Amino acid sequence: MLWVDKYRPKTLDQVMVHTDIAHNLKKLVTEQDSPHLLFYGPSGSGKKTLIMALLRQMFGPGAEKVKVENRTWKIDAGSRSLDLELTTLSSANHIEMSPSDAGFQDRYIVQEVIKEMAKNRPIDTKGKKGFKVLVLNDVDKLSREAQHSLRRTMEKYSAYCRLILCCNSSSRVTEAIRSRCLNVRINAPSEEQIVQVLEFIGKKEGLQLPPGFAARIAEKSNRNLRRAILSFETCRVLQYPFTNKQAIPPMDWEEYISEIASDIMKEQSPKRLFQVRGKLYELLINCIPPEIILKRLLYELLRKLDAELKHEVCHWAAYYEYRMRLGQKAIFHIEAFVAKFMSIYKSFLIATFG
Amino acid sequence: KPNIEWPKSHQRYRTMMMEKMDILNTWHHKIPPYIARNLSASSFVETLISPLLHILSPPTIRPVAFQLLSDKEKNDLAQLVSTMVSYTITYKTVKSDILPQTQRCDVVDSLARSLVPPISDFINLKDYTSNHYVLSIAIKQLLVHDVRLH
Repeated sequence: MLWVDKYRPKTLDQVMVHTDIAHNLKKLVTEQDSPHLLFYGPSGSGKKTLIMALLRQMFGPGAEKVKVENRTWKIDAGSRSLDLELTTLSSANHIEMSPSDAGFQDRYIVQEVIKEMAKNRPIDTKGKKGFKVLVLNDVDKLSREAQHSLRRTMEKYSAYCRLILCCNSSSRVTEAIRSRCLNVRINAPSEEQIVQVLEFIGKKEGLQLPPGFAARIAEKSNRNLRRAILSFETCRVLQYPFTNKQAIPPMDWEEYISEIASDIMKEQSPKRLFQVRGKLYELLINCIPPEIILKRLLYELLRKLDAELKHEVCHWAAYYEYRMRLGQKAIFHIEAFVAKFMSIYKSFLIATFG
Repeated sequence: KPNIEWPKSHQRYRTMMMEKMDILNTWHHKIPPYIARNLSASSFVETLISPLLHILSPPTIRPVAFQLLSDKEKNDLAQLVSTMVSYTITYKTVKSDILPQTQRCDVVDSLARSLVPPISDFINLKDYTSNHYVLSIAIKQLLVHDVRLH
């Protein structure tokens, strides 16, 4: 079992990062009627861990006994009939799902699941809780139509069904939904907090950490706790006892982007741009999200740039990222940014060195 | 005259990207829920696959009989098998008698390197060499056997 799973807190009391939030959540569900909740924050910050611990607080250890179901719903959508298929996890008291997996049909999934949960609500009102909980993942990836549908449905059935929404970016969840949920912001852990977790795991595993070793891992983790713990276990597997200067292996896709940045800096020509495009396609094909490619590429380019150009390059990265979100084909916008960068950089070189 | 390539290369990219995403989604559904529920398939490549491939290929395992291993080595091996089981990972096995004699060595060697699901494909980027250690076939066969016992 990986350490990232082995040492994941199961209860709100065990939570190491975000202890104040865990404490508040515990109070919230102890007082009977909990509202809809919206958890938001970056990947690897602990949103899912807190949600799972919260469910356990609400429903006891039974919340961990989930079964995987591949379900099909038959939807009567006016002039046509649809079969929607989706995988869900469910316990006696809750369902977890990622409705955006249904693609453009996500609005129907949202409606049907909540309706169904309302129909199947527990009759015994003397039982522990009078409602069921629906956990919706990646809510910021839902289409506008699905979010509108969700807002209507969550109002209509709120007496029987409480929602726990989870997303990375709350700005891409409509105001109408946000205003009907208690918003719980889960910050990325600080490097100090990550060091504490790594030292805790090191102690449990009986490991000796050289001074500053955990801090180096934390620094390279981009404040992503999952990444930090995986890096820590990787270092343990590659070489133990640890050494002071032991290398912390990078993400392959980040190394690849670093090489792309070097390619761009070395030559600014149509031929080089064509080669760069091929490499960008490689990343997209291997499921690296385009906004992350652009962000990382900018980071690598800035590291190699004179201060004079940084502001302008940042402006164009933001410009093309914005356009990328409006469009459908990410490669157009990433390549446009590369072309613009090459143009700016080449002009700078000519002006500086003649 | 410029060579306009958009339609063909973009269509190829779309097809391959959907195939790769399918691999991730299928894998995600096979991982036991107590682990899978904490991950989304889109974070697999971003955060999980590079370090996981290192963890799955420790340079320290010796291909000797179990009783000859030290306690530390036994523990490390058990930890590795446990990780493979919990993430539903194994190595593809090939019955060598199916293949003609002349091809047997090369093809078996090649196929025996394959992880199932094929997660190392996600770091096989054009013009890029990753520095992941490669386990010997003997060790892979040992791991396949131990994973199957679970």
